[in-house]
Amino acid sequence: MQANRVEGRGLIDRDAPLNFRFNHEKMQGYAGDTVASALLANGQRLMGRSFKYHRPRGPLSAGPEEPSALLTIGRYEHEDPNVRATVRELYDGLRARSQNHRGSLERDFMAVTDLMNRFFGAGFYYKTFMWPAKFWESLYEPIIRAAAGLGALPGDNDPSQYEHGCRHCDLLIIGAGPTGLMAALTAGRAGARVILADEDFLMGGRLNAESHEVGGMAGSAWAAQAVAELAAMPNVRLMPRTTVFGVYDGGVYGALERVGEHQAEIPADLPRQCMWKLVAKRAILCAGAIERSIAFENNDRPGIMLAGAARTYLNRYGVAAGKSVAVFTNNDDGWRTAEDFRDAGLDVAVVADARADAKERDGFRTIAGGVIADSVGRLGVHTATIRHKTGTEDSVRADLIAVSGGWSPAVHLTCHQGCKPVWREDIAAFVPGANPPQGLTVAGAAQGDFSTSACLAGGASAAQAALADLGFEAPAMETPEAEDGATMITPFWKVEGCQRAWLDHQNDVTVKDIAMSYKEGFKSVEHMKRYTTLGMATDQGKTANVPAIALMAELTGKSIQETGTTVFRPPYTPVPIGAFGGRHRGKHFHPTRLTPSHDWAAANGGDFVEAGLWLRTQWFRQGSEKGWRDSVDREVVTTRSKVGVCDVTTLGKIDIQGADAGEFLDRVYQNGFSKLAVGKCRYGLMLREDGIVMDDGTSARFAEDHYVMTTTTAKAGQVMRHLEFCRQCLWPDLDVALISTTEQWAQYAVAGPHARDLLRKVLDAEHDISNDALPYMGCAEVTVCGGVKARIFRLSFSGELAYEIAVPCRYGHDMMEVLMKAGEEFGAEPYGTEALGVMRIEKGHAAGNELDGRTTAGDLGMGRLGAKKNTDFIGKTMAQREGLQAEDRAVMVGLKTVEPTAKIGGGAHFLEKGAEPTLETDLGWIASVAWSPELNNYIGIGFLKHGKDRMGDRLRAWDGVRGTDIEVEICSPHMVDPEGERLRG
Amino acid sequence: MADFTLTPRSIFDAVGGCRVEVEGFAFDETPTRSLVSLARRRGEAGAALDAAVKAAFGADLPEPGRFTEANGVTIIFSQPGQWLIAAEREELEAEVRSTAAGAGTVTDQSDAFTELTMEGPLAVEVLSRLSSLDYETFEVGQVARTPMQQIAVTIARTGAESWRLNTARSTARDFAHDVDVAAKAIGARGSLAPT
Repeated sequence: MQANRVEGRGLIDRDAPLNFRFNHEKMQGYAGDTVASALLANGQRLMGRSFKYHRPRGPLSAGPEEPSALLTIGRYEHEDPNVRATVRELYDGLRARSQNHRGSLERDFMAVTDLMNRFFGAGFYYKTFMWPAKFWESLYEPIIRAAAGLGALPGDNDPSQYEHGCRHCDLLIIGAGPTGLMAALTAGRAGARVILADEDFLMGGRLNAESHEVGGMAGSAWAAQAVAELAAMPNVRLMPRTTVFGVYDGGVYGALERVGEHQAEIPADLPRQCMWKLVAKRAILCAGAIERSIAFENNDRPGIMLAGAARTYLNRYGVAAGKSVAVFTNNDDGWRTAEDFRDAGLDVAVVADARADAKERDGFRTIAGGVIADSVGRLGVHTATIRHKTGTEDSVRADLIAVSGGWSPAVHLTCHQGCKPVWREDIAAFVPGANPPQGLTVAGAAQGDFSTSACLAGGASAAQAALADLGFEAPAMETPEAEDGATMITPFWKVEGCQRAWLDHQNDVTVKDIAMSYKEGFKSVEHMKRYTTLGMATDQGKTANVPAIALMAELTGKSIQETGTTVFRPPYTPVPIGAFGGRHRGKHFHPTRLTPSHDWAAANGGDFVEAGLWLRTQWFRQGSEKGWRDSVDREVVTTRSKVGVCDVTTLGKIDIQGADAGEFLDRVYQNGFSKLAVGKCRYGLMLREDGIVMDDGTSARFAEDHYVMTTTTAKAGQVMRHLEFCRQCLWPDLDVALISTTEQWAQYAVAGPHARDLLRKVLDAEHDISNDALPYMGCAEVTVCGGVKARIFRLSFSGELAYEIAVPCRYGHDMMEVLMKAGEEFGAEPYGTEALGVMRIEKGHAAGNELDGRTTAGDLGMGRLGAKKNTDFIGKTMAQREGLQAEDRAVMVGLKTVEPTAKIGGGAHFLEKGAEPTLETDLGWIASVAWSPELNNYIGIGFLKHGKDRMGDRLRAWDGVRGTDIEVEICSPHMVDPEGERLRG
Repeated sequence: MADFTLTPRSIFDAVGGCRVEVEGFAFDETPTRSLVSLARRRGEAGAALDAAVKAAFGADLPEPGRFTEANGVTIIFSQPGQWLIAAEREELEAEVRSTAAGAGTVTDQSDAFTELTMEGPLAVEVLSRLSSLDYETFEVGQVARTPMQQIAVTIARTGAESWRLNTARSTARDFAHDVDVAAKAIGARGSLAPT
């Protein structure tokens, strides 16, 4: 039963009934309703329980500022807590649930906290739960959290899709009330690219909520006509259901559009919301104003709401929020509610106008200079207590108390870059300060022009100014006729003597709490906010801030301007974290790079690991292998005894060409490259400016003016950036061109005694890769498989006879297949990064664990690398610093566990036998460890003080994290084939 | 002796292509064209490059942010002093190399990038979900390199409703997925699409 619908009023579609549920009750509303308007239509004033005292609450407002009517909407994993019922559009099948009560909404056991309110004043838990300190986390906090609060998250992953988008325009207009519509018409007709964004699903702002006329027709009709004209303009984009929530640098605005959220069934591909980045050359803030309440005893009961909200429910939704209204106002605007209710045939019990000079108005029982001092009613108000000028009190039956304490311009967005609002005494409100974000101007009620006429004119002139700035010829605009009443206001913040009079309905902050905050010395508004929690949580004090500031000003004897506001930051209204994440979640959190033979690896037991953005194969599981070690040990043994193939495509590759390419490399590497023979590769060590090792790799020379550099997988991007910086900024005179070819070549390491035999089967016959023709560290451009161009490098990371063969990526997948087929007769197997790691540790080659951004060339045993070179290179001078050359620096060593199967871990520290593990006794650390199938022993690479002098010494590998303490023997890092006979074979 | 053959494969072969189609929008991979980078040599040597390229291909080396086209050859600005040249011919690298002679250096990039196209009136809308550039005012003949959902893309407007994109091969599947999601989301808006 929609008992509270008023016939003939409202912009709802009575032909489109919508069924929904509130808690367990079935109800009906209409298309065009919000959840709050539909609930009120059904006579449901009670919508939730308050944060701290669990007091019964209904809606205070009819808009985004709502502090009290917060519901949980949706079911299961789609549950959305703390939804403002006043803005959530009703749809068929909607399910709403009230929050923060134990037992039913009507009989909340936790309401006992309200009876004990004297113990729960502001800051009570700071004082109450001080002892013992350790009880805070384990006992007090969980209890307080369970007792207080609003809705709860469903706990499941959010299944909704969130979209990201970006739009550009000449002029962004924020808010589509009279001001915004007029601004959009002006700019649209001038031909500018316009975006008009409004958080509501129905554009028009207060025009849809008021009864007065614009241009000789209903305000809402004028708004609809303006919207229709704008919708027909190709240069204007209307964005309803879109909240502009933040202002950022360079004309960037953050906006959240509700795309599918208001639909009963969200189609599979439709996002719930879209996070927009709006880029605007100019913007006009037409966000309107927010009404505020007046503090009186028990002013928070369901049925007590802002006077403007009562009008909204009546005029826009055709809902009488009460059958008999008592109006309490300190300004002319409040009287409109009385008039609209009377015109709708509803009972206006009384109008209490706090202004001493208020005039009696015809047909109303007016209490001039009087106030509403208290309210009565358990789950909703039924009686108002009137206090006359004389101080006498009497009671009036009223199930709706409509309160107007004046309007506060919605200045929030103007403050996002540090602009401070300014207090205007004549309208008793903060207006935007003088330095709003660049490109943003403010018009209409948002800057304190409250009459409709002033809003329309203000919108047009703000748009004209912006257009002139942008070089558009602005059309002359005729402002439609509209009401032009000045809103006379006499500031009135609280009724004399009230204590439990709510300022912040969401956080249960009362007049008494502000007094307490003052008494305890928290007088600055920022301190007051933290002490009382006023202005926090989902509504950020949109209705509470100004009255609280005024009360604090009164207490301190300062002016309201001096007292100032707290800082408004984005977002203006709550934005789900999921919307910020957009599509970047789960496996799409970042892009994944796949090598050309990825699919082959996946089909052949490959187990993948993330290496930067790449997916690399760690090992290939075969047959009945259970643990990863089974696979890795086998791959190492196969490679060392037969032949193995490893995908090394992910290594960075940089094409370096030009007459000065050699000179360029001399300057970026510690060792020299300009004298490298054509057809040869060389290991190179690259330092940072500060002398620490940046990266290593090999560079091959294919022609006098052509080198190909390889980098590690991890540092490929960083090295490319570094080289570009050197080329463009440090030495722009060098004739050298750089381009990454990482993506161009699929590259495979073929290692093991049969590596050459295998490759001979793949290379076209004319290419000789005998030891003489292609010795260790040789390179050549060749063809494979009947003319496909390829590059071959005789490099070895494993220490075996080994090559790297590169083909264009389009052939990568097939190349892997071909290598395996050709290797079949030799017992070839693919190997992954783990086997690669084991073999390089056995061989004593440094890798990422060793090049950790702290180690020097000397630490790595390469201090003498390129010592003959007498030209300058990056890092040369800084590497000579005393600290980096110190005798006692930990240097790279190899190690074996004394007990072969004692499993050591990377990160363990070297200690002498019997030494306490302290910073003073610490001798160094272990960087890499592996089980060596070749040596049948756990081995590792570490950094040890005076390491060169400690060969054969026995030390402890102490691991405080894993709780192990294992005896190790120090050795040369070159643990397998130290003379390098295999790789030269 | 080479008894083996290698078949060229697109990154999309194993996943059945990358075509995305919703009303008003189509996205697909284009047949593989050769792509080479050309960099101007420093100093006087590089001065001859413009005339040589014009003579060989009939198209000018474009200004920053533009591309030029003639006889099936596309030249795309990629960074100061560097261009990408695309054409459907296998010998493109050798051709550009002999054209550039001592005036420029050449690197084959045919396999580094995947070439894709977008067509249709909704392409601008899809692009607005992928990157932050202003695609409404983006001119035909204009080219930009920009991140799209974290993936670097070179995008050129080839017609009022047609676009050509080059993106790295290794992330191309993820990029196609992003395009797919964005296009379907727009398609799903249907009558809900903002005016």
